[in-house]
Amino acid sequence: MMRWGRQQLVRLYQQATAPKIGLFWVAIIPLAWLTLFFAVPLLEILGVSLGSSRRGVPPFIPAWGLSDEGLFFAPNSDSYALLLRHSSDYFIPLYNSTRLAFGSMLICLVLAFPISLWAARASGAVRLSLLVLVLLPFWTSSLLRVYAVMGLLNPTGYINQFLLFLGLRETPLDLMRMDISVYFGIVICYLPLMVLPLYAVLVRIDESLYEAATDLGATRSTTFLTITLPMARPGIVAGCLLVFIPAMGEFMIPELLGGPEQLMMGKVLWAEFFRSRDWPVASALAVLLLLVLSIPILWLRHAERRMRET
Amino acid sequence: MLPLLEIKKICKSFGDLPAVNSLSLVVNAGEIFCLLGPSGCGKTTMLRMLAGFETPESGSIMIDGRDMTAVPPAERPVNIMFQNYALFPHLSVADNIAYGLRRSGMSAPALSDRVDELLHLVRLKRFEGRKPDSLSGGQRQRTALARALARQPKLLLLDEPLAALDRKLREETQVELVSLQRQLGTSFIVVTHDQDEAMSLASRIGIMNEGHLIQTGSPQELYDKPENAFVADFLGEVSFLTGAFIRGEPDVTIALRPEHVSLRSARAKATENEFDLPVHYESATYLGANWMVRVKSASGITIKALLSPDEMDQLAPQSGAQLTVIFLRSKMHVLAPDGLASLAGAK
Repeated sequence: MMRWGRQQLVRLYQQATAPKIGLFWVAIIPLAWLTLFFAVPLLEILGVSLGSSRRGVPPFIPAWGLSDEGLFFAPNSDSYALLLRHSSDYFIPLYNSTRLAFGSMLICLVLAFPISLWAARASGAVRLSLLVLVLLPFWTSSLLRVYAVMGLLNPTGYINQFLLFLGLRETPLDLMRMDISVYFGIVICYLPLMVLPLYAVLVRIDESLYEAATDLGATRSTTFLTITLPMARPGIVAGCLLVFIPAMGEFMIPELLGGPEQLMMGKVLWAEFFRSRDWPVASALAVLLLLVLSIPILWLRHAERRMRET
Repeated sequence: MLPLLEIKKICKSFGDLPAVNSLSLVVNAGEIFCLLGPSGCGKTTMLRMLAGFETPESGSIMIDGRDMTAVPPAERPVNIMFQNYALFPHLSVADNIAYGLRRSGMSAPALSDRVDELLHLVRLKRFEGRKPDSLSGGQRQRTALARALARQPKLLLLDEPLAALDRKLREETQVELVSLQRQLGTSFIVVTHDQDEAMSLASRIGIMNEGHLIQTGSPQELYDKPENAFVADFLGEVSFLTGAFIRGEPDVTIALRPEHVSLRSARAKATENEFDLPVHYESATYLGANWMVRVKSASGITIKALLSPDEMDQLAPQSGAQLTVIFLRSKMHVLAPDGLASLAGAK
């Protein structure tokens, strides 16, 4: 019995690792993952957004699905129409989201570039400790990191204690519930997402390219502008998207660190879902936000492809 | 006339490891000078010091009468072609070539004329818009060459210029490189570990080992009159014989090239100006045009002889057969007393 089982296992293993079948299994796992956790939920949200609201659990009737009478398909665009009628209500949170997400993205880029460049060109031990230092906070809960930022910026926080101690201020500086506190929070939480793709492209630039540029008369700044920066472009694009897109929908950071002036789309979405309990409108808003966000992604990909072709 | 390049007692070490040890060298304008040596002999370090990427600990580098020892790379009348070519992957062939010219503040029309001229020089006009990724190895090498020549350096440094090319292409490129150098008159300093490359490219060769420049001279000088066993062994095939070959001197070491050795039957005798040595046959390797035959003397010295296929047929040696090695006294090259010691030290 044992022997038979082992033989079966060996055969299964050989089949799975045979070149073609192996590739199939390698591809099917991420494919199944994406279908299950990306495509299906997305379709679900689309279904809710085209459905209608009701009192009950769940608080909506989806546009398609399975009921007692069998399959049904009855989409309506009421939620989208409602959103478009009241679109001006969403301009300010959309503007806030874009402004704060874009600003944080730029700050992340400016901070991450020297760190990544240093790590990419340093030798073993320095490189490792730099990367660990960047990644270490990433291993703690983002909620904790946001509370840590509060501990820094509060009227009784470290920064104010320090300023009062030095006698530079008589009263504590108001740093919380401002743009600066939201920037602070997003940058601290998202910096690794900028550092890693940048590091990945910068570490692949051969040292001899810098030497060749120097040999051909380029100064340090020219070398940076003509070699480092253009060659890092894919990493810059990836890092910016990785920071900008999730920051657009960020809920926790503006909620904990921002004030009414920092009302962002994430909070509006939350309010539509849980305060108005209008799931179709909330879902329609999420779908529209997704469409708006896909514009810069598609444009960047297009620009990237054009750059590569010429 | 002032030499183009004068290196005086350059020393450089990395940590405890000496890389270049008191190296002095003079290179004249219009020369192709080859620094030849095994890997790790310090030749690349020397080249990098000429380019300005490494600073020597002592000694000086004079280029065209000016002290360049501490001058940064960009301000030297020197350009380098890297072993891996170091082409900028995000720039087209034309932009790669124009890179150095752009840094020198050339006007746009002059710049495009010069790039055009260089593209024609290296036959890459058709490929000017291509990125390095979509070029063949030879095209990449020519792009790198054009880029290094763009600023009209007085001295062009080439680090293993042909190492990345396959055999057939390497021969063509060698010929091209030499004719290009004649056409431009720029001095080349080539670093290589490949003796064939050095022999066919260089007007003069400097052989390096363990940071020392051991011998410099034309390819013929080095081949025919190596100062010690290392040089003899590094350039081509050689056998070393120790014994009483010269009247009055009981023990000398001589270097003997296989093409100067003939093999005869056991009864053959040497004439007045020849030398004979009884040996037995060991093995032979067919090289295409010739046979390389290995024989061993009674005292255990292996001697290599180059035989034509006809000679080989005539001799038809059996394993262990008794033969006689005969060579002209004039073809034996007596090495310095420490000749073999230098070889032992090197290996």
